Amino acid sequence: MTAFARRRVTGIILVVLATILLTVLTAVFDAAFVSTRGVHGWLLAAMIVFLACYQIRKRLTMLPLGTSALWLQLHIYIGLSTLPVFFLHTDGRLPRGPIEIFMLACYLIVFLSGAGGLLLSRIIPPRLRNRGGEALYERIPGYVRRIAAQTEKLISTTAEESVIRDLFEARLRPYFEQPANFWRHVMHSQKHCVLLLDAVRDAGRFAAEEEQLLLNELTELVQQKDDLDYQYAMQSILKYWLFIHVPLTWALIVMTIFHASVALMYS
Amino acid sequence: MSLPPITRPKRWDMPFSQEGGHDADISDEDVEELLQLESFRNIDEKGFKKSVPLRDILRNDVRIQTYRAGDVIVRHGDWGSSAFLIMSGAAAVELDRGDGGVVKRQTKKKRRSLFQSFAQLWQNNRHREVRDREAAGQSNLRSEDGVTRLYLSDVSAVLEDSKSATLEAGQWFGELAALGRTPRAATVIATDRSRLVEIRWQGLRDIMRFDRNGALKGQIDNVFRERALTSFLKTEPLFADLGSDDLRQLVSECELVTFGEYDTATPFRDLKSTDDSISDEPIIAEEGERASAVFLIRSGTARISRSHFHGRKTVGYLNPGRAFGLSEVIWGGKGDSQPKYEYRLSAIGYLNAVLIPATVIEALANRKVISGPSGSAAGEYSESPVQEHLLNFLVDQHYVQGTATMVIDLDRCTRCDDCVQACAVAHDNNPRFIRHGPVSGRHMIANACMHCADPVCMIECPTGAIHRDTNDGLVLINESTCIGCAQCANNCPFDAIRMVEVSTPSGGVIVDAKGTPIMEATKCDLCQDQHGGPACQHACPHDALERVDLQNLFDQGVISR
Repeated sequence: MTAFARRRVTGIILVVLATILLTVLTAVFDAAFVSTRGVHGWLLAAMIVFLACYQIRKRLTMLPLGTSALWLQLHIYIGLSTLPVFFLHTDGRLPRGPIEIFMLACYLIVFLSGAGGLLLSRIIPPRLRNRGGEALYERIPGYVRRIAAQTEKLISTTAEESVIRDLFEARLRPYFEQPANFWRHVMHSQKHCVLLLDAVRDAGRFAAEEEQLLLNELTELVQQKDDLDYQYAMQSILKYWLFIHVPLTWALIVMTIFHASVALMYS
Repeated sequence: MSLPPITRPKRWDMPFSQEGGHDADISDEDVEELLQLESFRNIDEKGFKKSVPLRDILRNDVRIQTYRAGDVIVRHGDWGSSAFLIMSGAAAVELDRGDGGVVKRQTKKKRRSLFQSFAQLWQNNRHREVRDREAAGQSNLRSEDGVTRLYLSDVSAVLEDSKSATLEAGQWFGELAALGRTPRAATVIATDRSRLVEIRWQGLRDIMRFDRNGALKGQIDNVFRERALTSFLKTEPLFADLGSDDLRQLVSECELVTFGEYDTATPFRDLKSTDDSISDEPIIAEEGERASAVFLIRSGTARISRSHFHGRKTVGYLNPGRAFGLSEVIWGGKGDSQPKYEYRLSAIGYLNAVLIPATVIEALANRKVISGPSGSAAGEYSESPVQEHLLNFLVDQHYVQGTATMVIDLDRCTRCDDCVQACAVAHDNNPRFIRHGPVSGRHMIANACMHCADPVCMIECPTGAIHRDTNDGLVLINESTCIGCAQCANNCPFDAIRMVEVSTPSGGVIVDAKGTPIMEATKCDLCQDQHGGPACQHACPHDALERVDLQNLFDQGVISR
């Protein structure tokens, strides 16, 4: 078992143990007719605030507040623990009012986006590595432009009327101009690339002998561009899932404050 | 399409007398004058190759320099690739090396207080590479004939306060650092107007190699034995308890050997090897041959390999201070058969070692004065936890030099760039590395200074601005003495040093009198002044980035994955 797997198992066991403990305590207090809903509520609020603090910790890299990796581990397992606490707090009942429904929606989206983000951050990096063509995200558009320019230069050496030029105008120019096939890459599909390479190969049947070498170079460039598109799509997903997770976290905190204030006012 | 032919670079395309801003050719008269000096007078010119005659060595690998009283000739800790011979005048060697010596470097950056650390959030400059030029003007630098020199204003008063020894005409210094590619062991300051011969280490090596009389080699060897060998041998645990008589005997039997080549006309980045580098490496000891000596590495890195079908398998590598052949000589020698090397030892790039004949070791072992390693050589070298392909990659590409190499596990890195942002915050909004670099399997070696064990970037720095911190061994750049010559950036084989245009706090580029932007070298300083060490590593949420000491491959989390 790797160190990471050991850490994962330990974390999950701790969450399960904490959940069992909390459930037992709740049952004991319920049997004694002592309401625990308020305690669960405050615990949940504290957990949500702590989870949100990770975003602040990430900005305070200069302070000795523990490593970001440690904070992420706490973020993951405390985040996971909010689910049983939330369940205990609501007694498993569905919300009735619009504000409660909005809160539940916020919580579920934040929770699920967090879980999804974690999953993506474990699945996508090995895929990026296996695919090759590692590139810095910000530099990808530049590389794409360079490949496009390279292609234009190659095409400029062909005759005005040639099968390669036709192919280029019809299929390759739009492909090379900008990052393409975003969603196909997200879905891990290679169909678009296979079809494009088939088209280049088909063109070979009608190309002059001296153009065959050029077609080989085009094939190479199509592949390079596809690798870059893949890097661009996957790295975009890795960056932008946080745009769902983080803003809704702050919305959830605002709603929690409102919810707690109302609860205190009428309790 | 064929490219126009270019002139093939040759060894002496750039004579030493023209390098680094110097501009004083060595004339035929100068060569004759040099040949009259005691050190060169008895050299037998006939032994030299036709392609490398003595007179050409003196013409191209030597420069004659004049120093004023107070000029710093070499500085303790600087990396040297040349040796000096005093022609006239005198110099003082500073013996008192505590507290950085009389020529202090930039004092260690003070660790920021908690508030100062926090204040970086709003106090960092909005513009790139902002420098305080007033502070830079306070250093004791002077320029003469295009050469920048560090000087002491009142040398006699300064030297009075510290212990020093005097070097006079006819004496050599700096040869140990030059031949061993080690830091200068002391600061040497001109105490009088002095003329000095400065010779490239390659020239010195060739003279020592081809001179049949061996006069200069004898002279240099004696200096090495007197000044450095005893203390070096004592660092080897095997000889730590040796009595003074045995140690003296050992010193007299040892030999200083060098392997591999580097030429200052060839950038050090070219040392990074090709795919088949292992077969090109100079062999120090061959697998299966009689174990006739033990090698103690003084500087450089050596590869340990063994034959594997039709190729060679890298088993490990040796760094300075480590020995090869001990197990074979001591453990193998106890059997009836002659001991043989179980592995091949070859030099990666340039290597300097001390050769101890097996007979000497055996004699000491037989008298039970020393006891060798407990097991066989196989047990000694085959425990590297790193996967073979990664080990080969690290050794082939010279990354094993790194004491704080930035290794990124690509299977865990989410490319979030938190590491880059943290680095920028810690360095006035200027990140000091690029999260990109060569990849082997799941590991990427990012473009960040590795704080090499043998920092070739420090060779040829004219002002000593790039230096090793005496406290923690980090390779740092003194912003106030960096003159932007880019020698360090050109020498770094790993592209880890960048030249940048520096700005004023208002964002204007700082220019010289001719309007040319002032450049400075920048690189990772391992967040020396920050709390908690390297910000990049602490900011990585996924345990993907680690600063790894590749001098020791054991217990290294990220590279053993």
